[in-house]
Amino acid sequence: MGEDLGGEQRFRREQSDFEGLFRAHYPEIVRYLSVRLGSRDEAADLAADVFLEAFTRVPRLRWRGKPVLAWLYRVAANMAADALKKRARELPAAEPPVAATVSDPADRLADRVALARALETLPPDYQLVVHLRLVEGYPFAEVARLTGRSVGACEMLMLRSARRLRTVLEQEGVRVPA
Amino acid sequence: MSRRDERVLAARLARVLDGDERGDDELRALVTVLERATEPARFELPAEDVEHELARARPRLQARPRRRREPRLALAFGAAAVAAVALVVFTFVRLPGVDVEGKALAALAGGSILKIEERIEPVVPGTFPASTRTVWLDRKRGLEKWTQVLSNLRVEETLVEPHRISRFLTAQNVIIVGTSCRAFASGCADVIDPVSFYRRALAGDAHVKAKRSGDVYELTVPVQTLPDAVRIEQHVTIDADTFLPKTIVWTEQKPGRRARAFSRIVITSVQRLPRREAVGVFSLSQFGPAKVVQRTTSREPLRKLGETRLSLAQARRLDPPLLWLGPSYLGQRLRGIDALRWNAGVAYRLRYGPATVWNYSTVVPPELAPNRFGAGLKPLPVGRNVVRFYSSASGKSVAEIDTRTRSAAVVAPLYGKEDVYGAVQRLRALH
Repeated sequence: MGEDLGGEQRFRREQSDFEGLFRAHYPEIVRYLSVRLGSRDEAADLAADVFLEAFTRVPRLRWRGKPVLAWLYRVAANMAADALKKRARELPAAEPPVAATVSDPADRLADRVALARALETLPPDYQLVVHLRLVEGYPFAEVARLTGRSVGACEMLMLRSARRLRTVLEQEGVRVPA
Repeated sequence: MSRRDERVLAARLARVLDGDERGDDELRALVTVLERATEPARFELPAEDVEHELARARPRLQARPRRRREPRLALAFGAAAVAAVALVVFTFVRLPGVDVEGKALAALAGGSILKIEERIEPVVPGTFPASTRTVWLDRKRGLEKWTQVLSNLRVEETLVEPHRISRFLTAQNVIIVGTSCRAFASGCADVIDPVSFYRRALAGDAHVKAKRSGDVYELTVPVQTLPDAVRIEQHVTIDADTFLPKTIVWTEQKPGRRARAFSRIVITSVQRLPRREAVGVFSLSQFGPAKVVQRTTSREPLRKLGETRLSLAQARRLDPPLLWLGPSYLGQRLRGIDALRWNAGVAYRLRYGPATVWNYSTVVPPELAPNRFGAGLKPLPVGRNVVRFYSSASGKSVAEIDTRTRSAAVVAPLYGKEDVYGAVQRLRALH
């Protein structure tokens, strides 16, 4: 009960404090979108659009036991899907998925690209669960709350993601020592 | 494996991830796969980048209404009124189910560079000779450049940077540098590329009308709508599949007269280029020395107003922060920080013995200006940015880099290109 009250208080605070909401969650939305889109620049642009939408819509949301962050992720996922659809039917020549740094040896860079691509091959709902648990470090209970699924369903998605990733990486020839 | 076994395995994987169970080899291998695959996504965004993005978003937020939930009755009445208006407006203006403006804007969005080829022709044949224009847009860094060619001769090149606009007039061999489009005799309409203008209108709060016509959409973008003034509109035809612009026609309508079109811009190609292929694009490309004239927004020539010595504490309070090389560089201590005021803006000079670091935005220090826009400029990519090398007016080596808020240049008489390159990479914010 106390948890819910705290959650609702935070929800109300985030509804009225847009800048606080932006500072708290912009980086994680950029990280999430960078995996979906394969480009950090595009992710930063799209994340700004997500928050622009939030500015108008969030004050009108109703408290339904979910944090504002769940809404942000849902909008980000939809916008990413639109952007990917558009990209698929229009111009070629996208930027490489991972920014290369001068100091990366070639094989390490190839591994990094393969790893980033492997994550991109996962279905969106798998990606989100992996992102929330592994990148942002949310416990499964919170992942479940943010995605609107049960804890068991999230755990199952995680298992399937891990298996798919392993298959993709094996096909790419990336060695992942246990 | 049965569904029940799968669930058990999934729950065990979750416990291994949570550190509650060590797991067998299979589970540990899966955890390693997950951890390695998510490595590239585990990057930090510096707080200053977040603040910068927030600052960039603020003007767009001001243009958007922010409404709280209204009482239900009022909301019901409001919804009914909106529905009635929408029925009328959408019938004539909007296309149900298609967010044409959003898709048109998205077609020109993204992190890469857009290269656009345009042909500018008169609506009434013979009014003026047709010319072509190649335009590069880097929305992320706020850069625009275009080259206008008439009868195979380059007549003009314009470069728009976040804090200044430069135009190379080939016939006069003059580069005019202004703090805004108002510094140019032709005014702002001529200094903003039509495609860029159209993109800005879509991104802003302009009331854009759209209608479907065969395999294209026709968008009307208001440019000037003041009462009793000439009404100016952009009529943009966009492809219904790609949502990319095909033609742009500007019309003028004097009060009580019919609208007249003067020129038509035909967009012959739109390409998206990776950044690595656009290194050096965003600089003027004249082939010989040209005279550089800096102007203020009131078109006055550049004039120095004064010079003030700043303490380190005063310099630390500047926002955006200055870029510096630390308290010392290559054994040379920071000897002084000066704010130099011109009628076009302020530049900051940090002196490290023989080396100097300049920070500037709207005004380019006269010591740097002649060659900064000169033919000897050499761009070199560094990560996602570009370092420009050139010589100062007195022959010193200069390496310059643009950040989102300022340009910073390291000027050194004794160092080679490698040294100034190394120095410019060491520049960091003075907090």
